[in-house]
Amino acid sequence: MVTSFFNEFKVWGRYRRFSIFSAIIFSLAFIALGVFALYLSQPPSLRCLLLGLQSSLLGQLLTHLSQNTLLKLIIIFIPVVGSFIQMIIGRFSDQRRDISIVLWTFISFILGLFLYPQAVSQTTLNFKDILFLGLSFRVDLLSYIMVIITTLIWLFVMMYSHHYMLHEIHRNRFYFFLSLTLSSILGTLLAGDLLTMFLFFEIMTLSSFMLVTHGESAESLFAGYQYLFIGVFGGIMILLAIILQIITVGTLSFEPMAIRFEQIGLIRYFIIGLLFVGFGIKAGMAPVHVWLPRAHPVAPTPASALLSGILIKIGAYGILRVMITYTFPEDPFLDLYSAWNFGEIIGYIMIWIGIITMLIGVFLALQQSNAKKMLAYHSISQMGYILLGIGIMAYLGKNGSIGFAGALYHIVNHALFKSLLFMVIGIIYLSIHEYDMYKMGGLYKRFPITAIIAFIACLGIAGIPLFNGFVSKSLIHHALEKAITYGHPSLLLVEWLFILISAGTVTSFIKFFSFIFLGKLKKEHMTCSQSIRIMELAMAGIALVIVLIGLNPHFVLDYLIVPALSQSAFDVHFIEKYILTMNFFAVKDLILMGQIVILGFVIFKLGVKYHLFHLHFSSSFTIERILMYPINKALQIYIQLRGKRLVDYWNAYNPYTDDKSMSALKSQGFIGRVFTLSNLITRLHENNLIRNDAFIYVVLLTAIVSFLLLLI
Amino acid sequence: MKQFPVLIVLLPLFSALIIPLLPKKKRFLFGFVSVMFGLLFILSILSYLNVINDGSFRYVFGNYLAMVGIEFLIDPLIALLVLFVSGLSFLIIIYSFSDIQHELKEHQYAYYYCLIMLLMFSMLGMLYTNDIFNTYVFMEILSIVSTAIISIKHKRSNFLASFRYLMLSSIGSLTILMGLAFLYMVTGQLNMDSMSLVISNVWTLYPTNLVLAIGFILIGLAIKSAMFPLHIWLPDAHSSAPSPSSAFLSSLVVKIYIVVLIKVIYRIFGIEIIASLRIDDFILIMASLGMIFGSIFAIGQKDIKRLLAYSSVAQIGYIFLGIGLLTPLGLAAGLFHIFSHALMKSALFLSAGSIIFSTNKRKLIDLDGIGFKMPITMITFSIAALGMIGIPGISGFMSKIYLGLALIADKHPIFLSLILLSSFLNAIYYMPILISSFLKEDVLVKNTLQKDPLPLTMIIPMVIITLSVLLIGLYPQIIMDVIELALPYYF
Repeated sequence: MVTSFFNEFKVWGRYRRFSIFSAIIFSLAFIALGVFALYLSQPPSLRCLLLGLQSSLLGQLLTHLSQNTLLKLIIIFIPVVGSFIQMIIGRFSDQRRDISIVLWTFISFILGLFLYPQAVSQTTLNFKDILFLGLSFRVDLLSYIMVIITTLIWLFVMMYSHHYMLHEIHRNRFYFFLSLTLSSILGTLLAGDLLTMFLFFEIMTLSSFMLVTHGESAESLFAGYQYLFIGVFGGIMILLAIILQIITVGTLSFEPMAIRFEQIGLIRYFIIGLLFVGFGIKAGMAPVHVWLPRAHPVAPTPASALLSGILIKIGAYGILRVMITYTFPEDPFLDLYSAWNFGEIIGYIMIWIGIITMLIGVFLALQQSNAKKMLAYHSISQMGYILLGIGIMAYLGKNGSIGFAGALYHIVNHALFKSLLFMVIGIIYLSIHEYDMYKMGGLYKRFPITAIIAFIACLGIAGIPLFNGFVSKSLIHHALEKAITYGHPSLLLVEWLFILISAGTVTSFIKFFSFIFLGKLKKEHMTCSQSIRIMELAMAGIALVIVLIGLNPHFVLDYLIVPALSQSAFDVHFIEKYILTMNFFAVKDLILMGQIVILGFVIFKLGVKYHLFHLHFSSSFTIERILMYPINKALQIYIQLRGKRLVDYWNAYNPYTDDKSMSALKSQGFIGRVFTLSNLITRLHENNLIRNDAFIYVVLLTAIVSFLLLLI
Repeated sequence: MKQFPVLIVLLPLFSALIIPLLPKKKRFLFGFVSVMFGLLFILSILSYLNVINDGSFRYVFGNYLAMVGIEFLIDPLIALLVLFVSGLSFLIIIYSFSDIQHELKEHQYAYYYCLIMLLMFSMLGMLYTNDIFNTYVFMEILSIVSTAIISIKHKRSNFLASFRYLMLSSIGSLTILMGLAFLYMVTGQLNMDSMSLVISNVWTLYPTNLVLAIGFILIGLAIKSAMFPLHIWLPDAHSSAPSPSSAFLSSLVVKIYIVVLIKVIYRIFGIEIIASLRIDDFILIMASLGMIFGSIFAIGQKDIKRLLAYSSVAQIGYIFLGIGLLTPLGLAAGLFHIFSHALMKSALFLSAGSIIFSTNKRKLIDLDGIGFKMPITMITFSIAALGMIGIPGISGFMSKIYLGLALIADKHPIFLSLILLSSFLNAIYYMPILISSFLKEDVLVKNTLQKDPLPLTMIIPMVIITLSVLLIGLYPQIIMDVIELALPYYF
């Protein structure tokens, strides 16, 4: 008894003070959530108490705080200030730094909660002079929900990461950039116009890049390069859209502007396409998702949990914001259905992009043996659900509220279960140093609590009733049904694919759970170290939220998402009829879900029997290869014209690798090719140019003078 | 108050005369140079305030007629440029006190500062003067002084680079002189304003002369300001000079020639003639070629200072792109990029110089883990490099926005896409440096955060320049307002 108690004490972690502190913060966070829930629902029995509290001195102070428009700026800058403080503390003690990080994240969470009154009244904060066009910060319920879910998950991941990161190097650098990432995410969410959003979005790309490459291995550097350059490319797309929009529309702020936008002609498709590519890159949208499965697995687990849980949602948030801005008419009471026309076309395209993203994600996820990679592919597929919801929202126009609700709810839910799943993998990796699912098994015996939490997360992502994924997936499915009723019949195909993909998700997580936790425990894992309690506590926090949402889906919907809907120009009657009174546990939905689960099991059995999970396409068939084919070909032709071989030039400076073989050359990707091409051009032409100085001068002078003389 | 421009020009000239007479002690020399630069900076602040408050004015030497004598024209833009040149060179000079002790021998210090003073004299004179032949004289001084500054390190590569620079810039000067001769044949004037008056009258009578003149002047100035296919002298010269001189040459000297080109295009000929001759297309095409090829050549470099030199070629392309549009928006964007590029490039050269100063490493492959050893230096480098890529909040981003707006307003979307392609290429060559310095482990020692092994005189100028890059990035109006005030003088 005594020894078991002693053992129990030991597994609480190496640093006891941190554990006690974060346990206190943990309970405080839940108390805050509870108080907030009471405040939202305002049960009649408590109303007097609330009124009394508001008139007290503390209550008045808090009211002042929550109504100050500078609060938005304070929230954005708190993590930045914290990051510098932690940088200093971290030089002396890891434990104190991590306590400080949890504290600062908790403060941003609490302050985020206090934004509620401003979110309801949609306040704006303007800085006119900065950056020539001026910056503005704005909060509405959409961004409010994102801020809350971001800071909440961030808090739990920070509690978790303390013990995980003790096994990594350069912890100070990691936490510095993690805090910077948090602040830039909050800035992106609270931005009131495209320029402000772009500013924080770019900072986010750079600071999260430091998280991806934290391991400093060749693999993570390669993934980081890809992440960075695709991110910079996306940034350039958004910049181009910004310049075009200043010229054509004249304003960058996020107000509905469909009619003004329609007047600028066909260039609007170009602008919105650029914005979709720019934000879609971060969101892992279908043709530009290639960086995601590389970048997410190589980051340290807390970072991958946040990358997959939060960061890619910022891309989705960007697309959602763009959609609301450009496809909604200025006047919410405008009954002109032609004002919604633009959204219909864009929405239809978006629906197909969403479903293709889902399909690619699920299909590739089923082929993975690396657990983290599988989760990364599932992030792509779940982003597909969100994009589908956004697409339906634009497609249905005035009645699109249900698509909006589904997309927003799924953003919240996916953030919860995906970060949780990554944390589960992290705990297992910490003990057995293995990501390959086929080499695990029976770990239920070593990690009982983790297994239960993993089970909850799996049920969540698979969309089983009573867990959160079911709620948003059935909302999106309802939206799809509405779209089929009101729209084009080709969307029936989308629904079938939707069901198939949901079954694929079920299969995937049957595979995930059974290969890792069930079955026979491997011999070498018999004696692996057990999990740390404080990490499990952090995970249990997220699992609890998952279960709470699953049990009472209407709470978040009614008190947060529906008010967010009514801040936009949606049809109020539609919201009342289909969303407020929606029965999540209707027999029809449950039966459909049952069918999906059975289909999932069937696919799983077939897959195991016929080895379908080991299908691999030849490497020449990846999207990357197809996209790069023209560049590849051009490079080859250029070199053949020079009568040289490519490999001769390969010993030039290349940041990726010292491997100078032909196969390394083939696998280097777009940036590598640009490097090689530039090295080639430099070697061939730089000295030639320099030596032919007089010749160039004479040719140029003669050319321009004779051109001018001919002209007059 | 009206005498300040003359004082500003003559102060460096007299200091250049006094420096060789000073006692041969480091303290005296450095003290004297910094006092002189401080004085210059204060004078240019006063002159700038004077111009902003009272409007622009002309200063005629010795009360001769403007036709015969020499005239200075001080408009808000010129006043701002003078303030900028003297302020930035003050910072670079402070930096150089420590850096040249590493690069030069002790008996050369006096030569070096004497040359720097002459450089300042010719640059400031070229900015102020309103007389085209006077500009030519200053130009000759400037190119000879630059040659001497490049070759001051007695090394083979320096001699080679400075000889090539001397030859090419002499060819350039001769070409310009030829052009001026053609101009003088037609106009009989050397004052820019009277010239432009005459030209607008006689344009139809003597088109051949004027066309030859403009072709020759354009090519000559293109050599001097390193427009793309004539950039050939720049990489060698800028990379082999001592780091403070590289900063001088890349961020200021080249820009002065561009200002002269602006004067020639906008003030002497006027945009109607230039547009009817389609010179603007020529400038735009050369500029965009420079943007792309400068970046491509920069990707292929292995030496950090050579990479920065090629990056200058690309960025000069941006400036020419703005100038070549012949619209007020375009000119304003080009002028803004003169300021922002000067700041960013001097920050880059100074931080690269600090790396060479403390570790003697120039090769890009050797920079692994340098960010941990020299954090302030590398943060400076990173901010300037991110500005080149176009991250918002840094001045490079605002240049891109202004240029983009000017290009779209003038219906040139292709050039905008080239700018964006070029910024992507910028990312490709700047990012690996940042990554290897912050994210790769040094081969020998473990990465631990240390203090920069630099004297304060090197750190403070870098920090001030970085802060001003950020300041201009956040509040571009500081410069844009003055440029808008000055635009009427050019149209």
